[in-house]
Amino acid sequence: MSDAKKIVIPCSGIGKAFGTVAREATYQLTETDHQSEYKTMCLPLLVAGDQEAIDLLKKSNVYTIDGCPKKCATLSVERIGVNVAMEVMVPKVLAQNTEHKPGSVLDIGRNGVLLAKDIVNKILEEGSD
Amino acid sequence: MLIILSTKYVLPCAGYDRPGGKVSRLVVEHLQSLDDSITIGSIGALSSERPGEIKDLRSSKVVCIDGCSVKCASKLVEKHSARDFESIEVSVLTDMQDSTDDEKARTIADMVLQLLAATSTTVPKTIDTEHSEIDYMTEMIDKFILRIKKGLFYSDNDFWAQKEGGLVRIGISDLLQQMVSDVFFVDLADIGTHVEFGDELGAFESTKIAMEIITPLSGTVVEKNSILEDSPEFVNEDPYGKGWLYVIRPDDISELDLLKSANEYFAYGIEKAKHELGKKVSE
Amino acid sequence: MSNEGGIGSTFMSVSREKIPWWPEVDTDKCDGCAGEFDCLKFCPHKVYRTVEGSPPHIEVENKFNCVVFCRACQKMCTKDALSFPEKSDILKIIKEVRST
Repeated sequence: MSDAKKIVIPCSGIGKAFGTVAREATYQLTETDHQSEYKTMCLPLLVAGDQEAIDLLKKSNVYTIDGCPKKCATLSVERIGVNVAMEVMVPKVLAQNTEHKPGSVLDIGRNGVLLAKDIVNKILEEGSD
Repeated sequence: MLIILSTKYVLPCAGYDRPGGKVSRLVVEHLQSLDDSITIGSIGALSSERPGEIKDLRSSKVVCIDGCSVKCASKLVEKHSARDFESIEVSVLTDMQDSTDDEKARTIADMVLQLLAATSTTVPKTIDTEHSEIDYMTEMIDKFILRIKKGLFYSDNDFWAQKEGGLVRIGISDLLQQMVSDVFFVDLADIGTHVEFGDELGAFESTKIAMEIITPLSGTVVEKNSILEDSPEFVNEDPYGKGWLYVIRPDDISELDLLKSANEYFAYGIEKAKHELGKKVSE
Repeated sequence: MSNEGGIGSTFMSVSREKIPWWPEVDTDKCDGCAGEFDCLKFCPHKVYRTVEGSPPHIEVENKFNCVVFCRACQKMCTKDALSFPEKSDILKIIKEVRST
């Protein structure tokens, strides 16, 4: 595997708890034990067309975390011409772990944090080649 | 897809205490003598959300006549309709300052007729291309839109049943999908499962609740909508169409007489929605 | 999520009070889920309430709030303490009342 960076991009969903969960999962990767490997990038920055950000993304392995079927993170990344190495859908991970139903947008609760952990585990297990 | 709106709806200002309101009234009189096919709207009926008024508004080309810059008519149409519409503000027509009210009214009436003729095909802001207005009964309750598909039977557990030859397709009503919110998991029973009226046929889970699928008839499952396992969101997006749940071979088709007709469920749904809204406001 | 049921409502055009559908709690089996009261937390229709005791457990408070044919709470109970009438019996009663 090349030494390309791994960049995790969560969706910006602010209306649903799943958006907060997507960001929580991202921070679990980028702010804790895995921080040397995983970085994140601001989705709106990419959408706004920041060339430096786009260029960096093109050289990296990109993981997207989408909170709902609209798939804003995945679609936005693809639209700027970048391939997504792995795409995770929060509702699908919940469907496989139904006891980890998150609370509200403001407080995803213990279960929400566990759901984020399920997402992190999925990326760690299935994301590397 | 373009929808051709053949009916015309003009909503005049109701500000009888203001000059603009008076002119609006005169415009209406002129319009009625020039074209009696125009529906004249009522600010009062729209405010109290009379169903007939809302229906006329939403299925017509609309022109508002605002008497002043408060623009009550335009604001009310914005609130109740998703389509683009035209409006004329009486007070900004400053080049007519010296005309009499009657002259102003005639000029404006002509403008209204031109606008109605010009906008003969309009693309609405949001459009429901697959569903024509005649197949559904809709009712707006505050910001909540209740949508009942005609020709179906409905159970009091909020599931619909549709006759298809000798078989019956079932799904959840639009009311139920709105109440439960985003479905993220659907667990469907196997083909061949036999159930009695009221039994469970699988379950689904949403962000708000985990619920059983309660069958609105007795029979055997001959088809299930497996695509929901990958795309449970279809239940919310299109509850009467691609969000269907099962096709059942009924034991006794006359059992559907136990269910409500679309009209009966419509009345029931309105009460339930109001109750649900009352709850939302207090939470 | 609200409930349209309760006293005074109808189900399948039958007055709700005429339909004997509600859960029975087996007090020998119910232990209140060690204070978690899973069925009470799950039910959006306020059917249940807690009762003092050792241990504190569950009883049915608003039996007519229970949605006819719904048994969703039963799956939440790890002690198998909840039971419901036979649905076929209930349907028979509904049909009988409707035909009178």
